[in-house]
Amino acid sequence: MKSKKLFTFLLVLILAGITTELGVWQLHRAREEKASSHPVADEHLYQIGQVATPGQNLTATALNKLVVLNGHYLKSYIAPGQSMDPSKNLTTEGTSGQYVTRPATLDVRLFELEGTNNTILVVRGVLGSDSSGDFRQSKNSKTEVSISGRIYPRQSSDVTSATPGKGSEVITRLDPSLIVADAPGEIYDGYVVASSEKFSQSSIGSSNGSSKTGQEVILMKRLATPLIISSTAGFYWQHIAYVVIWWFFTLLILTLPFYNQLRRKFSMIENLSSLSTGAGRKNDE
Amino acid sequence: MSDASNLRRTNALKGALLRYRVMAYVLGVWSLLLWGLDLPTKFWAKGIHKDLIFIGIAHGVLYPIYVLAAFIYCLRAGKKITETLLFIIAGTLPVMSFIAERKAMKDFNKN
Repeated sequence: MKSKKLFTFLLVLILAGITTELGVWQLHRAREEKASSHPVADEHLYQIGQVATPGQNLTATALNKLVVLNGHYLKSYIAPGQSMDPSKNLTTEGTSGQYVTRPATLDVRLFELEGTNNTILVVRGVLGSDSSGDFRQSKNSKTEVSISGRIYPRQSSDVTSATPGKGSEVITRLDPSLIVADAPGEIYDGYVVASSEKFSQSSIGSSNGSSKTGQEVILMKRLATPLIISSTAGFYWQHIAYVVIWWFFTLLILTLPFYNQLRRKFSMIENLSSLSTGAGRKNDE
Repeated sequence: MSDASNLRRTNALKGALLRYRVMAYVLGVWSLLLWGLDLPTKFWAKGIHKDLIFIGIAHGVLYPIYVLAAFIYCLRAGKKITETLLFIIAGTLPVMSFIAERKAMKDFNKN
């Protein structure tokens, strides 16, 4: 009898603990949703390793973070048809670059981080309308560069179709999975929109997008780096509803050991055959 | 048990049954919306899903009310603990709450 009671006690405790924790988990998710729907401009510069892990999905906490990258460019791409809608999931806060409201071609690079063979996709800026003329791969690709910019989640759908003739240099969306074959090691999820570049060797870097690499001068406009607002703000209340449900289940589980007593007290059934004792019924009568 | 006490308990059971039936119908319809509209659009039509987000939120609010109504009804009707749990779980699946409501009515009429 004692062991049965102990088993029931432990079972109730475990189940109540699980449902409570599930409620807490949903509460955390609700807070994350709220934080992403009301982003705060974080001026702190993080090393990429502090906010993301190569080869793993970008977490919600990494979004809108300003990161510093040290290393060199490996390969160049162009991303045509890219545009931003300021009214849609973007704040105008914290942006000094150009808002691309009409489809434009972006200069995108695969960037290898110093001391590792991990790579990340970097958007350097906006190329001119004649993208083939402006698009040049740096001849001195091993030049060390220090980049600062904002990290963004990968695009999930194509914004343009691949143009025959331009081959693998054209990427149809800003998604590292498209160029994973070019990466020597692990690749970070998402991409960084560069707001400044500093070249270390006989070069001058500036925040307006003009960079001199000794061999060539690439003129381009930097892309704006607005904060992303979560498009699923309504889910906040859904998570809160789940919090209520899980904690309500906790309460129910805690009442289960007393279920039979409660049943005796409130039920009008004359013969409760499942009850172990008839004490409750006798009291009623 | 005295007649007065019996009458009081019968009325309490009737009230609990009515509340349970109302919630079973409301949640049943809402579960159909959730499983038939909200969840499919979440995976296959994300553009539309943004406008249907209220279905999931409302289901999250309605379900605890249903659970409370089912729990009180089961207590009043003297249901066993396993039956009570089945009544509660019936609220998570579409159509099942309608079946549970029919069973509750059948049991009430039998007694």
